[in-house]
Amino acid sequence: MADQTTLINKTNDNNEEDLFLQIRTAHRLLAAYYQRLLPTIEQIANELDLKFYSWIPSEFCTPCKFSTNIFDRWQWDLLPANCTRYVFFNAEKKNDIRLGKYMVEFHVISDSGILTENRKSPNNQPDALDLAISPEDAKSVLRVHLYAPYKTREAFWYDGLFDPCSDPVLTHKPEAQKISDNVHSFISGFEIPLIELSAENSVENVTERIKIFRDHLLYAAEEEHKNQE
Amino acid sequence: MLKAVLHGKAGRVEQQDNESVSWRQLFKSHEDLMTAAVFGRFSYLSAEVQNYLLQQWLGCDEDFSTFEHIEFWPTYQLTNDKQDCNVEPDLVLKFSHCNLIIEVKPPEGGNQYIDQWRNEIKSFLQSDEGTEKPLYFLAMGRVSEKDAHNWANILMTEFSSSSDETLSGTLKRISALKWQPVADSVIALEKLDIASKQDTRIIKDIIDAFELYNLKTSRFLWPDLVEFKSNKLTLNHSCLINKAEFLVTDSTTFARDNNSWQPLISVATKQNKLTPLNMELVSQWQIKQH
Repeated sequence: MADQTTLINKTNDNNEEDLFLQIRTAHRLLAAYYQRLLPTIEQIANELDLKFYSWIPSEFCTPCKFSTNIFDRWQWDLLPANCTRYVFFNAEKKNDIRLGKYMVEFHVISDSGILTENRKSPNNQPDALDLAISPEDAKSVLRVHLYAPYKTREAFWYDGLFDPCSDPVLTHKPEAQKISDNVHSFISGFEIPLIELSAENSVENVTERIKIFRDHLLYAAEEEHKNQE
Repeated sequence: MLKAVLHGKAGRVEQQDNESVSWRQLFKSHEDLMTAAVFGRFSYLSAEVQNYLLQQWLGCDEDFSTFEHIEFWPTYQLTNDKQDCNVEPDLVLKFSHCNLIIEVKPPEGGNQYIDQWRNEIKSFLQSDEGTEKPLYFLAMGRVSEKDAHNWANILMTEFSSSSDETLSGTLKRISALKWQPVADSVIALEKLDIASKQDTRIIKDIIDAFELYNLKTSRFLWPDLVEFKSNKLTLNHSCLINKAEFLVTDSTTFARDNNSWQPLISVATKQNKLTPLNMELVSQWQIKQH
């Protein structure tokens, strides 16, 4: 009996060692991925002379504070960079929404399987091993959203413009979508596979595409401003 | 001075409006200080490293291993149709068989502009130094790839088609690049065999200067990750599959909901082939024990 127990423990140890080999590898892979992803996004923002505004995980919460009981939270909160919004803008101040200025959001979706709309039960913590969409069928994409006001006003870009807007319809060619209700802005956006960021000249390519969308959006905002005067 | 700034020992300096500014901040916005911080050390590098860096920055295979000397902010007289004026490029590097003009704009400074490039090239070619030696021009920082490409084409065409012989013959190449690729090429030297111990120490100083200008000096490259051969990862690991049903249960629900014990029982049944426990069996045990 004792021998059998030893044998079972030994087998389990091997399995568990193998599991933690995977876990160590998975964490290192993620760190290596973030070490490339974030500088790439920052480089694109720098090319556009944008300033950092904010970041936030899009599907789960940020890891809780020091004294908050982490055991009451979802374990998915421990992966805040999985699906995340990184927001930049080019206005002088955060509380000065100004015609001619704009905001760009980089919505990184490393695994579309965890998006709320793809989950079986959005209000419950998803089972990482039993998501409706398999890793093979899920997608890894970057959604770039642009926001440009057609009316100058004193309000915070985040609360007064970015937050009240739903995500723009993503299009291949620039398509300015007007949001009137208290937001007074045009929005647009496009999507690319995340793997494109690993290509040579990816920063230049994405920057150029954003510039095309930006110029189109700013033009629409300028025209709308003239019409309303 | 750079070391003092990097280690926070340089203090502050008063400006013309009597307001003081930190040397660190001054370094970051002042092109002459960046020029000095990076190129003040360039002449101490070995010929191999100088050659490697300039070939990388200029994107050509010209031999730059015959460095003679470097001039900081030399002044040349520009003769124009209307009036003459002085022009001051940031650097002129002299080699035994070619010359190189460098115009520097720090990452947080003003932009490069084509008129300045034209004036610097023209005034140099008009000077006594604009000999038969091939001339190269390099703009570093604050220029987009598109502008760099367009402006280089415009100026190369302008000079090569000039009716003035002093201007038409010797300009070989105009290149421009941002600071991050410059920093990348310097950092890449650490992995190459061409850098001597002295080179490595000088390179470290230059990289420190790059850090002052918020350039990324720890470069993580996508190809390294894409080509990385990791252990094969799977979600079907037996440890996860067998224990999945209770491992992933929400901890709060787990504690509050009696039904959440059911997965644990079913796991035990599947994994260990045990008969689920029930009160009847427990009762029987109690009877037997008595």
